Amino acid sequence: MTATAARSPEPVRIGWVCSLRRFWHRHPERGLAAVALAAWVALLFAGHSHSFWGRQANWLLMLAAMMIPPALPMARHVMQNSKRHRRQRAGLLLAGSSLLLWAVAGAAGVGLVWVIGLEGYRRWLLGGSLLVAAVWELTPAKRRALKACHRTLPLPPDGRKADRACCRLGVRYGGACFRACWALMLPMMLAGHPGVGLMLVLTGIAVAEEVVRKGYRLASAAAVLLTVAGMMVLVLG
Amino acid sequence: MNSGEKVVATAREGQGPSKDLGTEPVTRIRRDIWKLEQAQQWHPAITAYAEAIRIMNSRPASNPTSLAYQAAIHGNTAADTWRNTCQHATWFFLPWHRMYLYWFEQICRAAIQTSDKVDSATKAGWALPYWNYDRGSPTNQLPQAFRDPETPDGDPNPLFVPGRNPSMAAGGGMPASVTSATAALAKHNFTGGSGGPATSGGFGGPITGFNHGGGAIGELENVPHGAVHVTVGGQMGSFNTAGLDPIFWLHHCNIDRLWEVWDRQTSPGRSNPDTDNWTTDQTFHFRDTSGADVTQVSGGVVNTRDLNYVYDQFSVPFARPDILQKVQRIPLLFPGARSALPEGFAAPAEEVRPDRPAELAGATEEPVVLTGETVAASFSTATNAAFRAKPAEPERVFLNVEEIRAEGPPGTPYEVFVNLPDDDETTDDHYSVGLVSLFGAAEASDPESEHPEGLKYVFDITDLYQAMKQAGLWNEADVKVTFKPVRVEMPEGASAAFAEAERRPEPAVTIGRVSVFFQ
Ligand SMILES: [Cu+2]
Repeated sequence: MTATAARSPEPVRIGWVCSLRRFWHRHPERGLAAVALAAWVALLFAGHSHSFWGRQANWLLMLAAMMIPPALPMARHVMQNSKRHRRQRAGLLLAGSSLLLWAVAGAAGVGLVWVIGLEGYRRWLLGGSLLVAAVWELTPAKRRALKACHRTLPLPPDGRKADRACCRLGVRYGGACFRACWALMLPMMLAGHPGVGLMLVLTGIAVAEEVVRKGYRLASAAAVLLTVAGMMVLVLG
Repeated sequence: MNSGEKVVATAREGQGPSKDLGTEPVTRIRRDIWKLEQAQQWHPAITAYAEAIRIMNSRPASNPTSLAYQAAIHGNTAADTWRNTCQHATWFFLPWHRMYLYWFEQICRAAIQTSDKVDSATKAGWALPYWNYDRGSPTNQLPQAFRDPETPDGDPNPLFVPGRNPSMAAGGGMPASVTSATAALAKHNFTGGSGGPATSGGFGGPITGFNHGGGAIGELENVPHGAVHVTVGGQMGSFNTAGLDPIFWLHHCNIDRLWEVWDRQTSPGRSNPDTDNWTTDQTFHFRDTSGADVTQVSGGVVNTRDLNYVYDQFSVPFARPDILQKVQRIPLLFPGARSALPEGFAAPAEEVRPDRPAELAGATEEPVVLTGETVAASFSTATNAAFRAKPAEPERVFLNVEEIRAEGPPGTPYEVFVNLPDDDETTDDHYSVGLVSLFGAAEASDPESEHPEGLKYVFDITDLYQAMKQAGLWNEADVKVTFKPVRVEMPEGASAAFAEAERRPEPAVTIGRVSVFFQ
């Protein structure tokens, strides 16, 4: 009798059920992914309000839709390295603390744009901020920030120490992510809802750069893409 | 020497290459440096290598065929298509280094042709030697030709570099735990797979490409590869300078040879990855003898005959039979335990993984700092809910050593023990789970480096856990993990100064977390 035979016989399962189960096991961050997806749906179907608070709510939705996806690998790392009963808590602490800086900076920026009333310059703001994002792609600071996004922290197993470590990692990751992606989010801040197509492109760039192991190598391709988008907005309107 | 040696196959001269590459039609034989050295001091093949290094050292660093440039391919502060492209902690580790050695060997061979100190027979048949340090003393020492500051002619010796670990420079020997490939060769799978915190690196390294948080390295890359790097020390201790020490290339030839030893094993047979993301999708750039760009893919280097070289022998070292088959540890550790186990019990093969995620059972609260002394850390695995459903007993148990960072190149590897009862050296082995070589710990701590994620090691300790459970030695509330520095063995007649040199200060290494995962 071998050890394999000694184990309880596995019930026969259909292949795709097995794959689904494995996928489910391997991706504890699926809850956060669902939040991001919900934000996209809301952005697609909700009408745009041009009131101050409407703009603020819109910013939070865009933040969830665009900045949660690149953070999913880090959330996965934290959740897989936490005990099962505190897994969701760890994921929420990480995501919450990493989005904090974004929420505050964004609220201030969006509020400022609304107060000054830059509505008329929307096209110039949008095109210009895309060109700024293109330039930022090529700076050493962007490259450094992307590497910093991959840095992790030891996570104690239990209690307040574990909570604090999740928050500390979240704040540090959020800071690195802000330095890496502020220019990609600038169009959203200055021009409100810039259209789902453009948002998908910007999210795609952010996700690719953070998820791929050496994402900073994508910088020149991203810069070209952003320049083209910026020129199109400026020339075609 | 009590370690047995089984010759699995011996390459014969005259067997033609399986594929004609045109330029180099002759299959060359890479030989054991210690056999050359013992046959003849400053054997012509060694003199030829010294000449190659001397000539390459005389070229400016901008020349792709200089030693400085070749070393920079492995590691450099600035990266380009060729430089700083070494592949560590990945399943490309072995094929990338095979390509790297291949082109280096070509450049050496071209340089040798211009030397008047090398006879024509040696010029015609020369290949890189390899350093098989796993045949006991004196093979575990640096060969004399690499330790002498001068050649027999009284010239500076190109094979000598200053700054190595003083005890190695003085003729000390690396202990078996550093030189043994036994644990690596016992691995059934080339890669440990991807994803999950308790994914080991298998034999050859984790699947990478879309990796995050840093994977565990492959066992061969850990020991003997990394352990020898760290133990030789000096330039060998850092990615960026390792290639400047001429012993580096002989060390990596041995790692390359061990890949083939692993591949030739049977029951079960081993196999290299055959998916496109390993064989063809990733292209690597090198420089040929004229400095021109050349590219290769992993699928093109799985057979050394395609590259026109073979090794003179493929001995399987049995230096540590206690770690060859993990299951053998059970009767070793607890003589009474065997009868309590089901008849024919064997620890499940590593690829048998239950269909549920690995769960964190316990971990250290504080980092463990290694400063050259033995350190122990304890934690509890008395988790009340590692699994949602029955059975509560894990089918597989992993010990992870994670988030390792260092201020500088570590001075020594450490052996890791679980629940070590006392300081009795003779029983140590039974509680050992392996080594953390720590090679690359400083690079992994540099936010500017290619690998800023910190080092991680994953040990499958299922058999040890089960045996300890059986014998009542696994205390849920108090799991103790001990780190012991692995020191160089003193040469015969060593002075007190030698022992003093061994006690040199070492950069502190911080282990962020030690954890146990149940699956
Ligand atoms: Cu190496």
